[in-house]
Amino acid sequence: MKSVATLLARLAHAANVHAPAKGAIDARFKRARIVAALGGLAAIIAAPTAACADSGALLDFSDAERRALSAHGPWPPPLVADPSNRVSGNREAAALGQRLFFDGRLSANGRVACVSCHMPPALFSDRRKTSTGIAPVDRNSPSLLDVRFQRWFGRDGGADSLWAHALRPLADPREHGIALTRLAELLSTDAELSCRYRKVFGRDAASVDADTGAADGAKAIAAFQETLVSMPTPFDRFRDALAAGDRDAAARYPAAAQRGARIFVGKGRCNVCHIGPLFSNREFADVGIPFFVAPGKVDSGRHDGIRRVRDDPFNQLGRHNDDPARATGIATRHVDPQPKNFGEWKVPGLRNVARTAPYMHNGSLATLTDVIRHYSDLDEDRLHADGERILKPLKLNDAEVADLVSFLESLDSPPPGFVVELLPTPLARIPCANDAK
Amino acid sequence: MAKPSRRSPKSTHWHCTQVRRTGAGLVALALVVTAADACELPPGGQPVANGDGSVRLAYRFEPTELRTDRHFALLVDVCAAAPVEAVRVDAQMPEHRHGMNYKPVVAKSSADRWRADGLLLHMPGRWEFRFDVRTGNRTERLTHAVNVE
Repeated sequence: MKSVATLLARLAHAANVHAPAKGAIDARFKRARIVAALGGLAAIIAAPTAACADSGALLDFSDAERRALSAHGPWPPPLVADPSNRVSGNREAAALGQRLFFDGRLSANGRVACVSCHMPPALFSDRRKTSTGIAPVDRNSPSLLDVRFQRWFGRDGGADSLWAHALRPLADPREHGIALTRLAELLSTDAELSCRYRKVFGRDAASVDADTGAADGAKAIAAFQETLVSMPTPFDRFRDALAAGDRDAAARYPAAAQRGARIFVGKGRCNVCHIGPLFSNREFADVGIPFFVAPGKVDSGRHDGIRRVRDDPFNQLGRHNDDPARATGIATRHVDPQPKNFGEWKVPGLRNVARTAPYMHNGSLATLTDVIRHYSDLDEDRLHADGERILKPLKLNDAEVADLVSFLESLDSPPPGFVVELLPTPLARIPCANDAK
Repeated sequence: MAKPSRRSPKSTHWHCTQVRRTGAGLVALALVVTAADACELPPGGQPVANGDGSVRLAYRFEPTELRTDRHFALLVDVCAAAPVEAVRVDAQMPEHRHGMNYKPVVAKSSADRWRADGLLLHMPGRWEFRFDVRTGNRTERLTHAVNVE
């Protein structure tokens, strides 16, 4: 069963595309959905056998360790609508957003869509070191799973809402390379998209200015992305059992993962930054990854991200925020630029981390073992965070590294990893009145 | 048997002056402390005072449960011998040598109450709140540490 699951996973990986043509996305995505579903079935059959191989006893976790591990759940957190997006949680808006997510017409060459770098079989990343849209970019494409729970968006936090962040790649000349008016134009002129827009927003897209039309389109894309929530994991079953005092259920969690969990909240101090159910404090850190992109060129990370978000007309302090109280703008209102922001990158969540290699903002670390060894052998002189003293070399031995990898692998949801309500034909253009209810 | 010392008239005058000055200073200090003591801090807040008690404050969180990863406000009631002109609020992690990623904005919300908005503690551990209370041309720093899980 394990070999069947491996084979199906490889087939799913082979369904990944590079700068796909529109028709190619449709065919490959259909294949990937079928493969992912079969992979899920095989994994469900295989999982109990794998889990039983190394479990049966519960480590003597202290009260402090239990509290620390319990803080990483329950999963998922409450799904709260975004007050700044009046169509957050709206099913029709998510359908419109999904159409736009797959639409290569939102690019200068007609072939780059959001899905080009955020592919469902790759958990909505692309498994490349750095991505390529119209042209190569300098950063690794993060998974969009669980993106709705973030506070800042993008590796540099250059956007303060999920919908504002949907606009940024469209305008970036290396990613989609279009003017935002193009999005508004499509919503006005395409028969299906304009029909869907009317159903969602209650007006014609042509009746609003281009910026408002673009913001509305982005809010629909965000409504779709909000549906990308990962499923509970073997760690969650362990965490829930631990919190409930069910020793027998907790003991089913593999011993290696238990040892790794102890390192995560103990010697490794990983939970200083990777906190809570999302395994991220949703802020930024310098972890000693070089910020030089090429000779004479740097990627400053959070430093530039703060500047971007403050200058963004679509930020939470602007007119396109649907929250009249602007309560959602509190982070943008108070964010404090500091010298230490140079070279800081967003602390990623760790759910499904084993399936979203490579790692770091520039994809420079290929495997989880590489990441852990980076922290274990950390060169403190490489840290450029203005006197801050958070990270120290962990000095883990090989067994500890392997245990920590086992723990991180237990944060994987059973394949395909998420449940998303996909339209029956995400790419084919059909009259919007014909959608199945 | 030692003979009693004899002071000159000038020495006596200086001595009396010093006694009067010292007495005035003690009275002034007593008045200062008394003025601060006379101010009552509302119950329920976390009390913090400076060394001589001339500045006292009590703070509470809003929302009431302090958690990492969530913006919150501090409501600060201040008692001081002189009118409080400004209060500045910040938070640091001394062991990590860093502060917050956010700059609080402090405004006076009533006679003795100040409100600091926009704080966020982005990691668990020991945080130290710092309150700079300005009265006239004097600023007094009060600190209080909390442990956040």
